[in-house]
Amino acid sequence: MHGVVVSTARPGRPAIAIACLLVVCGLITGCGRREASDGAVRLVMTTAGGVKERDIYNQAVSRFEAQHPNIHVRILPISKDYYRKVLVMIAGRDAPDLMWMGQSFGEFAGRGAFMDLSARIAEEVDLDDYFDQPVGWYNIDGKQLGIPFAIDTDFVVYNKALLDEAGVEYPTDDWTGQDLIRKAKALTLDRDRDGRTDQYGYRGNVDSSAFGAEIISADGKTPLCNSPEMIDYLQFTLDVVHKHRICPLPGDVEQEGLDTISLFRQGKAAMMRFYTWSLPELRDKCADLDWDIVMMPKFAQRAHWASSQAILVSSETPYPDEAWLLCKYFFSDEFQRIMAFRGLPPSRKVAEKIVAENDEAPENLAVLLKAADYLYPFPRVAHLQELMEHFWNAAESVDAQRATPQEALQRAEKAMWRTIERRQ
Amino acid sequence: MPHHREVDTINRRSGIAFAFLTPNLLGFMVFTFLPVLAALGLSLYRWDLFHAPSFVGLRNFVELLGWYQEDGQIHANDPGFWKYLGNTLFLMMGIPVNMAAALFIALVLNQKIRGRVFFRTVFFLPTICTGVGVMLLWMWIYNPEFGLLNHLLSLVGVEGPSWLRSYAWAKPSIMIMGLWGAMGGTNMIIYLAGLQGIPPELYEAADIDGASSAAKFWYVTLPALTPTTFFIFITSVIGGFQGGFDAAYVMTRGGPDGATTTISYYIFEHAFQWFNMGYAATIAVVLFALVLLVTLVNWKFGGKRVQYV
Amino acid sequence: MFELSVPLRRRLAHGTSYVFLIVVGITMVAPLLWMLSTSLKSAQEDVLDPAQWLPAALNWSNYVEVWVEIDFARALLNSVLVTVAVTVGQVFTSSLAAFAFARLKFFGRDKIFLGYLATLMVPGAVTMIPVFILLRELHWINTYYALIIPAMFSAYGTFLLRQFFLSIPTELEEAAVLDGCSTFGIYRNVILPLSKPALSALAILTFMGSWRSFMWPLIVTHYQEMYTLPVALTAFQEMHTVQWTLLMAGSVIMILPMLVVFIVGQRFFIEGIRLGAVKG
Repeated sequence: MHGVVVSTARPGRPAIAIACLLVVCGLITGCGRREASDGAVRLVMTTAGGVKERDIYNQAVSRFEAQHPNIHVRILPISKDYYRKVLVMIAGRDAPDLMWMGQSFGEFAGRGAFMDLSARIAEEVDLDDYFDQPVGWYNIDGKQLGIPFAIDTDFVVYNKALLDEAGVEYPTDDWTGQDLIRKAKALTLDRDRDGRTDQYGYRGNVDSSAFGAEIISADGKTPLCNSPEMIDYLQFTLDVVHKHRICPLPGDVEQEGLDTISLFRQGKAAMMRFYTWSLPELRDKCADLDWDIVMMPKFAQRAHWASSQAILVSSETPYPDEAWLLCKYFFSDEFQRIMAFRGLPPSRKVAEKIVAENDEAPENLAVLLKAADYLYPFPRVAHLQELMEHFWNAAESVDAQRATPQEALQRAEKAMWRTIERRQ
Repeated sequence: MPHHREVDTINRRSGIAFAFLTPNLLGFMVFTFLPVLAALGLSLYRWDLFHAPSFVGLRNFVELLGWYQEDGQIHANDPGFWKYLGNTLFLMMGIPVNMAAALFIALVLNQKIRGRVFFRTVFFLPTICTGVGVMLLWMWIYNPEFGLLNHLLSLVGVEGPSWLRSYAWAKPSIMIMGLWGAMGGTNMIIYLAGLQGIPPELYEAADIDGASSAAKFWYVTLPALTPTTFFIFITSVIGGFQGGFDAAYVMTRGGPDGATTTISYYIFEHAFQWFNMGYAATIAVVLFALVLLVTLVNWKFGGKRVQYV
Repeated sequence: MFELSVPLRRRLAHGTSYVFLIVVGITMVAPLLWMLSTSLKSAQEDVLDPAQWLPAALNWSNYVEVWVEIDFARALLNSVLVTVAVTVGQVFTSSLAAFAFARLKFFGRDKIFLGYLATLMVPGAVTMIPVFILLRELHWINTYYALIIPAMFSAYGTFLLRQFFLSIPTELEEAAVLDGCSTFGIYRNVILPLSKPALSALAILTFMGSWRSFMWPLIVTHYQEMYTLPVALTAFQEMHTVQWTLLMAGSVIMILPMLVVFIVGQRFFIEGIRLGAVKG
């Protein structure tokens, strides 16, 4: 096979292709970054939440930009794994200028992610009007790092038609855990008699604080989960499934991405635990249902799980003044009103007005106001994620009946100590 | 050829050789070789990327692999690690099952039947389609209340378990999904090729000796396939040690109660969820050592049993 | 091979084989059909009912919604860009290096190759963290560079191609040398054309691996516009609710290109696997 064609060596087509690709890549990566080429200030803000919240943020930002023409704001919606992603952004030297914050606030604060706004807040904001706790949640080591614009909490939603059918009285705000169990039992039915329960009395859990239990001390240095109160709590989560049989699966229903609203709408549960962020969807999808809300029942004490939302400023922003302007807008009364559709405004004045003006389901919106006195958020601790992981593992092993509450909590406590010691 | 021309050629070739080699070699050094050294170094520090790193020597290794005594009993310093190592090994038990299934299908497909190519393509579909999208699909299939699998089981009167939510069934669920995805895939194709490479004379000789089909399989087919089997096994084991992340992250978040956390997921948790970079590097180094050890053992013992036909 | 002598036994064996193959085939395909069916259901329908196989109506709007609203088009573009770049890069650099290892003599050749082999055993997790730290220093986090460049260099590709190149007889090259062909010319005109099966196999394997790659893009992309398809899909699992119909539509979109590539390149691919594995 002689006569092979020989051509002078030229860079082959693959090489050219790669070169072109890299050039294109370079161009693309050049765009969309934060170069202030036209003298304008560009701010990046990360947000969480669903589509409706995204629209709200976009509109708020448009209003803000209209008032401040030299500031451009770019919203970065992150729908899954928000906290982890933003932490990785900061670790990757790509921190946003402003960030939405919820219950994992402590993780970020403990890592120095936020700008100290104490001076600016002292000067420009009147805090007397706010509910006592929420503002304090954002105060770490004497530094006020921000102000929330909404408080999230939980409540029980009940289907009036199903309760009427079973002859059960509607729950009132002062009901107890015993009331819950009693009512739920009457509401758990096997309608088509096929041996499988079609309607459950209560789906969901309650917060461990209702039993007077705590998970970790406020400074994050002492695990408190191995207590008689916590054992009672875990026992309760077992009992609702196995003893009272009012709930099909242990643990929090929302875990597995089940469409909880659909479950409620289809009458598969007479009472369910929901959170404030579900209110819009409840109003929307259950419009044909007669439903209302009520406070969480009282066990050892009355407790509502709580978290709050705030927009905080990054400690690494190159534009502190502009960022503060934007941040200020986000806890103004106006914005609180806008966000009130899915949370409780932290300003008492605004909150009372919202409740007074409420003319759609749920009728008993005042629950949110009353819950403000019984709020129990997660502690604002830097390594919350890792510590909670141990606690959740324990709860899961109890749910699966692989360990008794005592054993599981002991294990969790030991694991928490190890994590804490590693921090020293 | 004259001697000095040969030398010229070789010298010129050395330079040219490196020209060929450089892109790959450079990338290899920067993104594989040096990072391995860096990981070794990183495992001696505590670092969370937000503050400065601090040197802790071998403390990470002690914390990971060591133990302490209490009440006359021995407790591991990091019980999670051993549990997740166990998870990883458990999931790897699916490897022989997958291989056997692939071999079986290859055997069936190797007959002279019509539509072989069609079936081969259909069987390859799950392999092509694996990935995040299909994992989400399987989450749906495994849903205890509304999923396809429990529904089908209820039709025959069996009450299905909670699959991914059940501590006992979570790993088998992932293994079943793995079997579905790998049965008709690359390993099957490799086996098919191997089967077709067996010289027919061996079978003819067996026929002359009056061997039954089963005997032919056991004494001719299997031994002839040992190089293929060996290759598949080693690559699967190496892959198995590193795997499990995608499924753990997308489907179960490592739960319930750490049932589906594999070593690679554990490393991810420490590195990119809790920001314990040094400790994560430590686990990675231990994993590497483990893979090396197992592969060496495999090579030594397995290599002896491979027969070349 | 089950070589049966009696015709009846053969027919029986074939019959049962067909049944077996059909059953297995159904098991393989059923979940995928389910995915397709769910992707066409409307969100209002009782998606929770597993008994309904066929959607009430064909909601192609789901695909439009996924495409438009969640910026899926961008994720698709990213995936295509990254995957093509990685595939081209890997095939190119690996074939160059494989050629050097297979045909050229140079100092330390075998030792370096052994080093390559050793890294085949290095778990991804080991290099992940240092590479992340490196990229962060370069400010490459959340850029295409981070997605493409670390993935472009593979010892596996070099290994595979070297094995293949070694099996090519040397007569052609000797002839080319006599004709005055340069080394690169040999590579380009002799080796490459003969290696089409191996190159395609590597290309397809790399393509599929990169298309599906999840952990690394998850770690290095932060802005939604940088997500690749797998990451974009999990972003669907919004914090509080899951929209299954859209999710499945997105999954179908993610799978289609791989299907197309496979069906088109099937022949080369299968050939390549056989050559690579059996000769290795």
